[in-house]
Amino acid sequence: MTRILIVEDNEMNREVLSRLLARRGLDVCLAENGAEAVESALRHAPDIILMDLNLPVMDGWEATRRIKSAPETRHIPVLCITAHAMSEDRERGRVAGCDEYETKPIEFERILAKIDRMTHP
Amino acid sequence: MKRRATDLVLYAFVTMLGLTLAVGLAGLLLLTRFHDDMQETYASINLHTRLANEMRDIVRDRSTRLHRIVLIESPAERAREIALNAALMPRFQSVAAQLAARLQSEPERTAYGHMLRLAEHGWRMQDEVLALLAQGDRNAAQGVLLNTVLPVQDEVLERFGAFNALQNLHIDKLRATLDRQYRTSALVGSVIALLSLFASAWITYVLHRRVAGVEADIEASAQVVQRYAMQLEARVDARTRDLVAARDEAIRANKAKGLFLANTSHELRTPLSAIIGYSEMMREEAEEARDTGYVRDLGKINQAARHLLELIDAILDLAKVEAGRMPVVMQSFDLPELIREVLDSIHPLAEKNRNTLEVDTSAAVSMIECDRTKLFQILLNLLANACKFTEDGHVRLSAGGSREAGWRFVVADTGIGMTPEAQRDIFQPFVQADASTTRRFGGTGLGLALVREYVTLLDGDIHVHSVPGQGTRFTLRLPGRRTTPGAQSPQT
Repeated sequence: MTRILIVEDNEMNREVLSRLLARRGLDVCLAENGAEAVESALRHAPDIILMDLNLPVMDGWEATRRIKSAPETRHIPVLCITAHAMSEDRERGRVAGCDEYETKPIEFERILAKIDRMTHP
Repeated sequence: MKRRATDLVLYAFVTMLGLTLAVGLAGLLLLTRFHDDMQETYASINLHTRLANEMRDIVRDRSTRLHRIVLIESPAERAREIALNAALMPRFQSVAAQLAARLQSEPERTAYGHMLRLAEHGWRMQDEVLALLAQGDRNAAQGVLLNTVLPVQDEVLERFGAFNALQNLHIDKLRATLDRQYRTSALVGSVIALLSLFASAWITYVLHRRVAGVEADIEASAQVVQRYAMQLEARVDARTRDLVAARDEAIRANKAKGLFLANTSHELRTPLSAIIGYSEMMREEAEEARDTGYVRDLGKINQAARHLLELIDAILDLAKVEAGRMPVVMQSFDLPELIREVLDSIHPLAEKNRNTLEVDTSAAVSMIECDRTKLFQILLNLLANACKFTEDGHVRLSAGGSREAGWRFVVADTGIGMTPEAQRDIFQPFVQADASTTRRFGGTGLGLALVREYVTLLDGDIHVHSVPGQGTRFTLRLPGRRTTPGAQSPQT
């Protein structure tokens, strides 16, 4: 079973994503901010991380950078969710170590396909 | 106009002056000629007098000589004197003939006739004296000389005097006539000259008054025009000030609008994301529960919310561009990869209308320097537009170019196309070919407006070529190497 870590500060978005992904048979872990995400990635060792970039406490870029620099977690693919197709966000994500990007609003079928591709290369 | 009128007056005056001079000159010429005639006549009369005097002198000379002849004792000397005396005769006749030929008036001729006959009578008496002398009758000769010749001679001399007096009278008469004629001519000439002068002065005055009137009219009109012009200028200035103020106000308001929209972006998007997410989730759950009524309704909510989000995104992007808050981020990236991403995104829309997607990328193209997100959005919007207005057709994306020559993208479809009128404002916000197409094809009507804004931001240009019923082709050109300092480098 594929384990996915959803990092999302907005409660409603988090709930929708987790329920939809759980329905498709994914094992869902949740984090509300970047610090939680780093910790959760270490503890739960997910197969993939769905990372919102605009987060409180620690933002998504910093969290990604940390995850990608830790030897235990650097292999985990990170799929960034950018609020809007802002090029700056994207470039910053690339530098931090994001593997893929997806823009809001989330196209559910497309994100599922992407997750599948990233977890089964 | 003013100049011409003044010139006219001047011309008129000069003309009148010329005429006056001509008349005066003609009068002077006539007068001179008349005067010359008179002079000639006068000279002729003088000649008469001179001739008559000469005749008289000859007569007198002969009498004197006759006296001497009578008194001379020596026959030889007498004979010479007689010969000399005889020689006077032809001279007298010659002068007489000259005078006779010149006489003109009847009184002259009569006086001359008397004179000549008397002179001839005297002449004959002298001949008689000479004849008596030749016979040796000296006393008889002396007697004839004293009693006949001398009185006759006195009478002849008297007659000559009378003739000359007549001539003098004639001269006086001529002179008087000349004076009268001269005075008359002078008077008439002066009157004509004065009249001409008055006439020209009057004409000049009349013309001048008229011209002055016209000039005054023109001046008045010019003043009126100038006043109007000044009023107009003042009004234009006032309007311009109003317009400038209004424009500045509009610019401020527009900026404020842009800022407001950009700032409210997040606030609008977050609840919409929730609506989209929950409706999506509930639709899946309803599908699972096989509640088809809910599936359809939730699908509609999801679709409407997505459309609304699309619209908000487009409006916000446009607002950002207008507010000058849309940064251009230039970066080098792989063009084929970008195209793959675009095609991934557009695929569902192409399939919806059963269109085939074709891509033609020239093999040499790989790395490109551009704003990735904006190019992505431009190509996506153009392709979405093509897919939306094409059914069971082909949509083709061609990309080519180089860093040196610039980039060229063509999005062509075999769809419904556009009329030239529609092509003209296809890049205006909220404009689709016509209102009915929005209902039929959906869409925000902002996609192409955003494309144009982005293309402008990227210093490129875009053209549309379309034939109704045959298809549409958008040609996008972007500069190759961007060297303007305004380009922002990617931030880390």
